[in-house]
Amino acid sequence: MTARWVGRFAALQHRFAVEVDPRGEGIVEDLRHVLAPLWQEGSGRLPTYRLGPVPGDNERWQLDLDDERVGERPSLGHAVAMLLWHVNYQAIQRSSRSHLLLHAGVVARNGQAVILPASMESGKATLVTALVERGWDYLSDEAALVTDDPLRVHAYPKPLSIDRGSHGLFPEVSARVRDLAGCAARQWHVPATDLRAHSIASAARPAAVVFPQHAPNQQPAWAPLARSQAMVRAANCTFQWDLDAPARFHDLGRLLRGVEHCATLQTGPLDETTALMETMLGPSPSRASR
Amino acid sequence: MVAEELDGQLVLLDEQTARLHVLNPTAALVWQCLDGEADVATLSAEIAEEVGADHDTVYRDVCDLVGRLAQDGLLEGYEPVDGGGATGEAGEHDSPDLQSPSSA
Repeated sequence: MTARWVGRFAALQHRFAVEVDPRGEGIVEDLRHVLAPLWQEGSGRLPTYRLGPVPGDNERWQLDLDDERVGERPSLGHAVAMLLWHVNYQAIQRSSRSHLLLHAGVVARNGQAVILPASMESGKATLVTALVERGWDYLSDEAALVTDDPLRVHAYPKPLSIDRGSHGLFPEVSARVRDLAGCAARQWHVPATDLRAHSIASAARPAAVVFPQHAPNQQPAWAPLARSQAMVRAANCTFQWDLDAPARFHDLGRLLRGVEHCATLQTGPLDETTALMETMLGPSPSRASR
Repeated sequence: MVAEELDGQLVLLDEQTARLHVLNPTAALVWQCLDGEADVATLSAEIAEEVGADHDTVYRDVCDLVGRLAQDGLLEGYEPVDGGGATGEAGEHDSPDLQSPSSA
């Protein structure tokens, strides 16, 4: 039986195609929807992910990238999660070799980007989701690719990955989440256009570097940060820093000299946190609308 | 060692360890004057005259700063001199460890 074609996509410098064994046909449309912001036109062969059942097994599924086995998982939903993880991993590995790539969320308004560097479990995806709902444009919840001449941060509009612990914060989103064979029970994968139509920006000039910090039961607080201290924090959020530290060091210097604001942001309740950002950086021009 | 100046502070990258060091303006001035030929006494005298400060105080502070810079691997050819051990207000700096973030 012929595999079901999902499409061609580009995640930063990782260009790939996806197809699914006919026994997984039910998720093809959902995968297309979730990956739609990464959709790429064109022809010619690309490295292709294939989701298929493990031969001789009624439940386990495997993921291959061309001839290479990526892994096996106990269900289709787990295998879809592995696919999305591997896409992200390859995007970061390939794109951070020769560019400054920060582990960061990125939002923008009026062509001016706010880069939110933060470690895992820092709440940046939750903050980015809240900001996009409230009118900010979406560039990424994972990585900021920065180039200079001119200084720009480029979009990596992967589906927002919202962990189970944050699901209750976005009740209006829950009705639009695609199940992906049960993958959504653990983590939602939501294209930004499901939060707000036309919310994805392609690139923007970096205007601020803001380091979110999350601790339970805290009130939002903004604290300006010296560029030198921002350099240290941003270096800790730079993918593959060790690969070419001098180049990344100078890239960071150019970025930080080019932005108007460096600050830390203690996050709290989302309404208050986003309101504080708008107070410090100016209001978003449009509120959420669908 | 490569450097970036940001708002009057100097950030140094130790290329061997990939560690960063932040020098405040005073420490940055001292570091930039340490060209392998200057001695601490002469440097201190020049700084004291430039800023109008007490020479002995400046000398102690510069000795302390130089000692800490050497301890952090930012200097070569350092030989301790008497008169160190001041409180080090002239040149505090941070030396954080760096780890590349995981990708997913």
